[in-house]
Amino acid sequence: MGQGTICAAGWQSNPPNPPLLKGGKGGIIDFYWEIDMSDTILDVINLKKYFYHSAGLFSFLKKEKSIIPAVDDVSFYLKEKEILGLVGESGCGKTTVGKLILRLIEPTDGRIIFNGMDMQNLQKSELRKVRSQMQMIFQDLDAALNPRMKVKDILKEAITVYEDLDYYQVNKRIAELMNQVNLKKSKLGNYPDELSGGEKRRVGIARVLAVKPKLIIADEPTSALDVSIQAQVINLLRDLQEKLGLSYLFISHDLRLVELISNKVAVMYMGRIVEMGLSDRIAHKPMHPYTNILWSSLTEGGDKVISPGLSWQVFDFERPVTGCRFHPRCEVFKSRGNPKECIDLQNEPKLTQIGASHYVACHFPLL
Amino acid sequence: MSEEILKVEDLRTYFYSYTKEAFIRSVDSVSFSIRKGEVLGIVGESGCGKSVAAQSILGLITDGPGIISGNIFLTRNDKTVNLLDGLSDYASIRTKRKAILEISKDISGWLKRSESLMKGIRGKVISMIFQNPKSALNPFITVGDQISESIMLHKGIQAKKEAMAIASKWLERVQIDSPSMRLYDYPHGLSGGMCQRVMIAMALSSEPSLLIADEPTTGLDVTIQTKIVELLKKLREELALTILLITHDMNVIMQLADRIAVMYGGRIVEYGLKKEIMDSNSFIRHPYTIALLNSIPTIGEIKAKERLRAIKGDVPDTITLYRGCRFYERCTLKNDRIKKRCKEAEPEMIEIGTGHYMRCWLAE
Ligand SMILES: Nc1ncnc2c1ncn2[C@@H]1O[C@H](COP(=O)(O)OP(=O)(O)OP(=O)(O)O)[C@@H](O)[C@H]1O
Ligand SMILES: Nc1ncnc2c1ncn2[C@@H]1O[C@H](COP(=O)(O)OP(=O)(O)O)[C@@H](O)[C@H]1O
Ligand code: SF4
Ligand code: SF4
Ligand SMILES: [Mg+2]
Ligand SMILES: [Mg+2]
Repeated sequence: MGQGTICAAGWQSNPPNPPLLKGGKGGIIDFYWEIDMSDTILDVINLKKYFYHSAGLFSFLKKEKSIIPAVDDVSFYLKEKEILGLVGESGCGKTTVGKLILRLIEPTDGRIIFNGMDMQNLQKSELRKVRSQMQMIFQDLDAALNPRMKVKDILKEAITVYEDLDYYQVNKRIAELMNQVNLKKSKLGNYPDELSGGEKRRVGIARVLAVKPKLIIADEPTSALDVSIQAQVINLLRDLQEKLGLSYLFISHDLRLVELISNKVAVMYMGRIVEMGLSDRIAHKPMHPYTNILWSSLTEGGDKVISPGLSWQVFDFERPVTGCRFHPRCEVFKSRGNPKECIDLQNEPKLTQIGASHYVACHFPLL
Repeated sequence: MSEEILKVEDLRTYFYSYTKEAFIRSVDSVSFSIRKGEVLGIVGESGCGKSVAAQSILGLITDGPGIISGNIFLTRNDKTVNLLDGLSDYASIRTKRKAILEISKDISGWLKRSESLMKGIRGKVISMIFQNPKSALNPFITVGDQISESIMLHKGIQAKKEAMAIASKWLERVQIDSPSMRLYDYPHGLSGGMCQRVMIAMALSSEPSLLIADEPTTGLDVTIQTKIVELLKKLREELALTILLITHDMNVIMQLADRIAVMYGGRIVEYGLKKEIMDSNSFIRHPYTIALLNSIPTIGEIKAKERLRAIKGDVPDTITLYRGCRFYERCTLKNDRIKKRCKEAEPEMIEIGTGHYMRCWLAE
């Protein structure tokens, strides 16, 4: 995206009239955020990531590759000390969004502004510094834990990546971290294999805290854990957020936990955010038919039952969908007698503001 | 009553921790059985030994002391084999007043014997869905090759093309999008939830008699989770599949299990029909089961953004075991009448109703 003239810093100091940002292919961003940008820590603008996929042995004959639009024009922002929940079906692109923000993978298009700095324009040394301020808790419990290192060495390594500390300071910091995540000191001598799932997760969190981040991207931090440990980890994440003033992008498929922990929730469907707003509103007064299906599948008593009317189809990046990408599964589309707006190729619904901090991408939002 | 397909008796699987110079009793005298066509759910906090128990059944415990004793009877076509038959010849254990002093084991002899016992069983008669799909799939082989190889091996299909077609069908059944395209994907190109579904497809493709599912739906969202549960239900009818279901998700247990075993600190502490164990009006239940169920947040608590009720304290490490009940430290239901006993002696498994067993002094 080459507008260049609007640098992030300028943008920050520029309210009350935020400039219109031009999208990469000439499209204008459909919405920009309410004026107070001063404490915005992360701004994601028209982010895209396409994976190319050579389908099968003979695809080269057809001279075409299928595209997986894992992240397709995603925009959102996150304020300091705020928790934004990101929910959506498996494979809809949540983890990819997280990895893009950390620049673990390169975006196809779009901008990421962290703390007023445009990640795209950063020098190597600056990027390194920014990296220490954003950390990711990975979906996979073992991903960040080297099996040949003891807990103590894992933490030590993390502490000394960005900071030059002496032996005494390192040990003090290790003790502090173990305390913050409620781990017994006796676990310091253990190898990851000798830890239970909950303990591994807590070591993972300690490792992330070691570099003193401002923003933590927590990718399914509890999905590999059982209920009681899940509760411990959620309580821990909430406490740490309060104590250390952290911001979280909380990625999860567990709607109840997302509702509990987040201030705001963004709902993703096939690479795109279809609804975003305050967590109470999203959970109890959803406007997008997909969000409605998601939350109504949780009924009182905690049983998860899919509402009987839901037509469940394989959700498919390969099969092109014209117009709204949700229409093959949409109840509103059906009950309104297949309105042509929903299948109009030129008119895929865009995320538009429809109430105070409430954004929906649907031609016929539920009211 | 239909026949028991699997019967586990007094299974003990211990490990040795070099850092602590002590034995870990991951599975400590566990017994249970599964009838044909039944779903037995094992629940309990992480670290309580669920996965180790499952791996023991499949002969996947290779480290250190590993499985040291017990019997695992597998019955098929009226023939019963003991999957641990003769293994005790390769290991011996020396204890003194319940403390383990020494375990000696001839590891290579053990492994050879174990491999010959498991031949033709693992992956074919019993297959397993692993807890960590990313590490259970081979990163260098495409999804299609992995599944079709397993199909060719276990189903006796010769033609690769045919096996690929079956693989594609299975991917579709587990709700993978664009199955014909995904066959050519390597595991790293799949999301976490997709890897999990690929694992499930691979385990089911050999149409086993017994499926061990270790956390099959963790990491999957509600819609796909429901689909997987439905799929398992359907397969259970179609293929007369018997399932050992290990999960911490009570919803999945509620929907699938017939009977439940609750594990704590390497032991089964409660065992019985789902409707008795999960029924909150039930006359008597184990304090640990109650605590476990209480830690599921209710909708009201979520709305009020309350602090979640975790069970205070940690799962005991099974190294230093005291004389008393393993749940003693964390138990909030021990009363003055039995407190002393709880601390001093470990309760035995007592039958408190037909087929309902519990390990707690309250049941006396
Ligand atoms: N390296 C890659 N190469 C090709 N495709 C990829 C790659 N990484 C991800 N994808 C694809 O991008 C899509 C989104 O994946 P992502 O991991 O972001 O999903 P997710 O929302 O985190 O799902 P889950 O809840 O299952 O973890 C999927 O279709 C996935 O197959
Ligand atoms: N290979 C191993 N070596 C040493 N200890 C192990 C090994 N595998 C598991 N353990 C220990 O056994 C206990 C039970 O583990 P596991 O069965 O994985 O628990 P879960 O009930 O969560 O599935 C844990 O304390 C774990 O640390
Ligand atoms: S735009 Fe139409 S098809 Fe899409 S979600 Fe709204 S009503 Fe359904
Ligand atoms: S035996 Fe005592 S300590 Fe153990 S669970 Fe029962 S009441 Fe609690
Ligand atoms: Mg993911
Ligand atoms: Mg496990």
